[in-house]
Amino acid sequence: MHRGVTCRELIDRLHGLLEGELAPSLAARFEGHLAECRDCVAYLDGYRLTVWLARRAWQESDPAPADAPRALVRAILRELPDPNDPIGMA
Amino acid sequence: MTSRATLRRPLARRRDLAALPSEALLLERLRAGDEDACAAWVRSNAGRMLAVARRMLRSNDEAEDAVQEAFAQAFRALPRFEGHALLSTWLHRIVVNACLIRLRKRRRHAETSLDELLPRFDEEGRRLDVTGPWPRDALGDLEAKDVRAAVRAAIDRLPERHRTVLVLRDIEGWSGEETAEHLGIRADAVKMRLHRARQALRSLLDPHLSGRSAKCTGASPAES
Repeated sequence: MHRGVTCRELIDRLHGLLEGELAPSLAARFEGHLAECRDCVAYLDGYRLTVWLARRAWQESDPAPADAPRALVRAILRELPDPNDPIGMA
Repeated sequence: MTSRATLRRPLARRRDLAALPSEALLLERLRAGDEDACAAWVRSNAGRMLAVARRMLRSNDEAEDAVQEAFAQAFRALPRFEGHALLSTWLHRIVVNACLIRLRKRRRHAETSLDELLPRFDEEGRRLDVTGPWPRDALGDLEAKDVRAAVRAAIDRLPERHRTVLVLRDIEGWSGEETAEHLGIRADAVKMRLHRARQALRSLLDPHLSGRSAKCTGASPAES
């Protein structure tokens, strides 16, 4: 029995549990809670999936490096500083 | 003071550079103001930097302005670049800083409260808003365009402080220490904001994903 470990306690410390930052005894209590609580298992699954989805959210929609708008590239190149300008030289 | 006329240069003539030279040679050429090297460096990085800025600022116009400012800063700072990181990594940080400055200026309005998006609990610490597991057999669909669009829209709804940490940590892949340093906050504050951002994002995605498949596994690892 894992006394004192509520769903709230586990969910509040979920980040630490997933990152392996919790003390072993506390992590063990949380693992014990997960073994008995399908709601928290579902929450944890959804949390992990959320992180996975966020990491992939912009794949395929990001422009390839060669696809920067031409006007932007022109604007950047138009503002190149004069290399002979002593401003900023160490 | 250097006049605008002095700064104006004709566009570098287009020349296909099969690959950028080595870092050291590239740096030398950039510092010397080699037009071809500068143009190639800008073209090879601008698209990716624009993507970074768009993720942070959520506005294409602001993102383009931030990238333009960042490149200008980078070119001015080249004499001081010490080479402890790759040029592209260094540029990435300048772009992120340019975005952060813009975000700080923006924060004049009250931020959306995160509270409504965080899980709620009863007096005994049990979750109140249980909606069931996200169906595992829908995993294949999660690469679909509509799901990605929903995820991006949900990230956009997060309060800026939390969205910034989520973008830097989970999407740009920065470490907690790097993120804390650039945001000027403690590492434990980064952890807390990231956790809250993920929780809020989960809440925003739940209606979209929990009903995605007619089949719900519902099984827990250990049945009591």
